[in-house]
Amino acid sequence: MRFKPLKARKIHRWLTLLFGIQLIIWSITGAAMVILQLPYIHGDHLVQPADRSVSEFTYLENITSVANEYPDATEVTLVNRYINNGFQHVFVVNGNATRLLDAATLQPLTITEQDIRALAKRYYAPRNAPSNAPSNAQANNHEPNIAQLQLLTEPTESELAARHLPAWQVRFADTSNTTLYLSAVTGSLVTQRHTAWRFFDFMWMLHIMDYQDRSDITKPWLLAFTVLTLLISISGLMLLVQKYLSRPWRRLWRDSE
Amino acid sequence: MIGNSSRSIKMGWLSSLHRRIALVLVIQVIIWCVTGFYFSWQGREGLSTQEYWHQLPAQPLHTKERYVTPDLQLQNLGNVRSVRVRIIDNVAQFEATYVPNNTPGHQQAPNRSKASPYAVAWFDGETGHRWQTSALTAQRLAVNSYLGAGMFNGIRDVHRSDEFPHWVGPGFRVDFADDLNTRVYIDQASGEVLGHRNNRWPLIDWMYRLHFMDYSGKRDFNNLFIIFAGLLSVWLSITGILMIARVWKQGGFVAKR
Repeated sequence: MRFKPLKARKIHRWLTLLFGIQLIIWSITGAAMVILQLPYIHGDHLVQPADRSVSEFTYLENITSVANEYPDATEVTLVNRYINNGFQHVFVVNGNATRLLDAATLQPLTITEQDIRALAKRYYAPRNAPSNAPSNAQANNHEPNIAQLQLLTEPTESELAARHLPAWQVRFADTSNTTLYLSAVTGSLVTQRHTAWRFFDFMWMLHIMDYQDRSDITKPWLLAFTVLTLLISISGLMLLVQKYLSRPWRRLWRDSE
Repeated sequence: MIGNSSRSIKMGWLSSLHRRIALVLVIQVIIWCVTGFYFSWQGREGLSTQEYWHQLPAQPLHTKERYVTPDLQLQNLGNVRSVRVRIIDNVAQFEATYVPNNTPGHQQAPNRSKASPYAVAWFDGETGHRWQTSALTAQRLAVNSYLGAGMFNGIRDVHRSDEFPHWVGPGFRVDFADDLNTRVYIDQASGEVLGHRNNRWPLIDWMYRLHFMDYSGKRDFNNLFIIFAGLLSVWLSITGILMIARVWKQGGFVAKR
């Protein structure tokens, strides 16, 4: 048996045949992800502010009472939110737990399904409005249509991080399959998802090769494929050098002799 | 005969196209492999340069006996959407989010990468005046956010920094004498600890710049260079697949006896 040194062409072909599939996936997913603009993927155009301007700053005098009533409270936010068929000033209290209080009486408030429906429609931005315009969907005679409403308490939904639970999932019947996630305690908008986001998330999963959580960039097979792809690239570079540098140079050398 | 020759012309054209695109892209593909390997090897934590980072625990609001609410100042802001109260370095802070009018001088929240339609103003809960982070406060905040063994090694004013590309400044840079030459950045207007940077940051920064072809360092993941290179890499992959299929068809992958 005679030993033949492996040629760059052979290495390039075999490595590409065996492991090149991930290079193709990286190319397609990478190109798709950089073409899609990040603000669009984040769905900034899908939502608008739903709270009205704070008009009664005197409620801030109640902060001391809130702090004394809830000693674990580390942060209190005053907002003017649509609850119980009308706007009212409320405190969103963060501490060991998140609470919603009436800013005037300091009584705890509970967000109902009806509140979530009303708030979600207010958060939902009409397609014809600019993303920054703080106007309501209803004001444009464009009544958004809620297709499905579901209270999430268990971390089963891949679109929403578990730390945001419990939350309401509000699906709208539109062409973008817009889904809003609202806090079940405060009614605050947690996040928004749509078809392009789901597509981007799928591309990201394929790109980082974490097919379960879609967040771990340290998978060992990712490292292995990176090294193999590097070998494909280096062998390709050697072929290019042979083609465009070595051979013409040798020919030139031969001709001059 | 004619069929064979036209097919070989087509394949010759394909090989030539593959080679020419590779000639343009090969170095970038190698860069993508090396930087991708680095990202995967370091993981999210390694890339954050937060080796000595300590998340400051939020202070309970009940530790303050009284709050001076900046009612008049809040009213002067106009369209205030929310007012948040929290404690920073033992001082109550009011953070008002509002729709800015056309006059200059409105500030945006630091560390926010996407443009927000809202401006933010911070007020001191002890005086009711605009919040001002002193050098002493910045030093204390930096020391409290630091877990390393190094000693405080100086503080300086900074107007902005390439180490936090989206931060508009001004603020403070607090240095620590440790093995990583850790520096902590504090936003002057809000007193927010922006984060830590250290000796590893320039390498990580350049890895990002090279991977995303964002040589400005502004973290623009949708720049024209990367979009163009992404599309070329898809084309390189497609021509590569066709060439591999041709070699397969010609029996190029069958072991010779």
